[in-house]
Amino acid sequence: MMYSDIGRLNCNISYTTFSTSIRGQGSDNKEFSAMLHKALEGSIILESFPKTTVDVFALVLESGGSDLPVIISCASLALADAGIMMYDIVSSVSVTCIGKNLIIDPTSEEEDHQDASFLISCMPSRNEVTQLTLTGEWTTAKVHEAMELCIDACSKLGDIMRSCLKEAASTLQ
Amino acid sequence: MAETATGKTGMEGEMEVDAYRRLFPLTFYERHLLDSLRPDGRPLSRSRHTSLSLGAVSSADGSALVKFGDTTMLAAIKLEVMTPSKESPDEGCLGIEFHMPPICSPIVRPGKPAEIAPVISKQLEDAILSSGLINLKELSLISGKAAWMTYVDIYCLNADGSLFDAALFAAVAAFSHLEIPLVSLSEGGRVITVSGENLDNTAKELVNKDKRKLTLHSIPFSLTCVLHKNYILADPTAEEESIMETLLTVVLDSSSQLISLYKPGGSVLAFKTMVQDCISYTRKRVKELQKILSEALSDMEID
Amino acid sequence: MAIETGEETLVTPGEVVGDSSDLIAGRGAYVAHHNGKIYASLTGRRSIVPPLPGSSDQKPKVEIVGHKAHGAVPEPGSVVIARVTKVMAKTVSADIMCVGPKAVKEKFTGIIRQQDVRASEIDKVDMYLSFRPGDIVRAVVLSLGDARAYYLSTAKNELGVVSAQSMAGLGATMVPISWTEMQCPLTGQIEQRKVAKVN
Repeated sequence: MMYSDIGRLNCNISYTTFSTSIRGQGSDNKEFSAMLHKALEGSIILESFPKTTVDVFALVLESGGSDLPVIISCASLALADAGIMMYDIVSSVSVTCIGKNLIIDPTSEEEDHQDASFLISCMPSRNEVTQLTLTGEWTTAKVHEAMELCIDACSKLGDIMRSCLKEAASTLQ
Repeated sequence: MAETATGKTGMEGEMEVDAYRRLFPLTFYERHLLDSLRPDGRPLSRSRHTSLSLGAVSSADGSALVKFGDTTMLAAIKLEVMTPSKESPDEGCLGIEFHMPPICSPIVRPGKPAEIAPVISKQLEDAILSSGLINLKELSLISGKAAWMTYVDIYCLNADGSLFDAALFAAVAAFSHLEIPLVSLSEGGRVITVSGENLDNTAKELVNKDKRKLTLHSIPFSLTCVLHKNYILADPTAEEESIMETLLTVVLDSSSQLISLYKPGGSVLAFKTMVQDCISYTRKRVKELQKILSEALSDMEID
Repeated sequence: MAIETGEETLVTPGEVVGDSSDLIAGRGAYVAHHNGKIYASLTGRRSIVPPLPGSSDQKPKVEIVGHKAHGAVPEPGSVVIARVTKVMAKTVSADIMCVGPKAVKEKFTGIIRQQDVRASEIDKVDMYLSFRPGDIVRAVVLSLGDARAYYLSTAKNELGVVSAQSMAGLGATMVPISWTEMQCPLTGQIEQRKVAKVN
């Protein structure tokens, strides 16, 4: 491993054996781990901790749909609580498209029937997107609609996350 | 110990208590033990604050979240229909697994699993099977055709010592919370589980209508103690376990019968009186744990 | 200029805490170049520090004091206490336990190279006669080192082994008797070390 002037971020997501309706193997999810890394990387001031690695481990206790956005928002909260320097918190929301309907924060069942999906992670107070993932077929108009829906939800979620952090910080003191 | 004390006095002045505690953990602890008080303010024989909540995982058939101080365990039970083996056609099966994901401790990393996890898995299996907590015959649905495969998974969410005790308590609490799903016979004679929503339209015969709870015969509870010189420290934290290496775990059932006793080596040899003291501490602890469990169960009924 | 002293407000990363036209961003805050605003980068209390008299910039500084105390982090020049983990022919590995008087929370590894053990006759240093695994060493951080470890030095009189247990076992702490020797109080056996001078 090379000496590095900036910090590193390392992400790992795993599922419990009982997180899904049929008992699983409780394995790591490599794809989600990589996406979590990409969603958070841009929000962290890596220059503030040279030659140090920050590990983010997520364990999904119960999977009920919209797993990745929940993990991303949760991990960002944990980083902010740990006192890691960052430009902004990251809130993440997903939307599923079934037929002509857009469904925000879909459940597993809704995700199973989806025609297309849209996930956005953003830094709410800086109005910057750290990650955007589209799957399936989208029309330009629908993308716009989904984007607005998500950005609005991200900013609301961000407010809730901030009040959570403040509550935790004030009870500690 | 006089030499040890004088040898280090030169350094105490230049560092904070926390730093001294890390550098000379044993000396630090021995000073506290002289006053019969541990650094966290507990008397030697007292366990940490213990809490239990049932039904923490809604997708499981039975679950429990247990905290011993900072040590946190989540146990969940899932039942699946299986064909019983030829040797025991009217018995179900029990699979117990203990997991230590990277989130639980800085010493566990992805690709570097905790060595202790499979050891605790085996100990849990031994304690649960040999206590007679579960009668495997009760897990049978139709003799020779269908029985329950019972998966018990215990996840350590935060590892701060006495892992076996917390895991065992979480497992038995999950068993007390367990509700067996309803099953019915399909046209082809296959056994299928019936979920709440389509209960009405499958007005067919339910195989196990009256049998939703397992009879728990004798419930095992345990207490781990750290032995150091003549001291016995009940319910040790991870720091205490790492500094004073001799551990003794006693498993008793609800009527205080001895189920098992582990003393995996260590530099302190346990005298008879020490073992007896550990057992009597465990008796007291069993009463505490029983009370916590029955309170949690009666809270469930009110809800 | 919005300066509330008195009741300090709690802020979270990403919240605007001022404008760079009338404040300087201190610890836990940063300036966004696109709009010149100052944002918080930590969760904690916002405080305003008045400028030092005589400093060139007369703007007050906005700082965020984190809500959680972090462990100390070694920096070049800091005096550390470390526990020796491995002794090799050319280097010694040690875990850094304290920076100054403060304990570290995370694991930091340090290396003492042969040329950094003592100030004189540096080519004649025998690592095995200078340190033993388990020794507690006072050292100074030379540099951030390589990817794995900080480079440490004991090349000063007051640096070196400050506490060591004798090889004879029994866990007895040895007493320094010269700057190269320590003695076991129980067996009288003498062992070689790079001993730190006791003040």
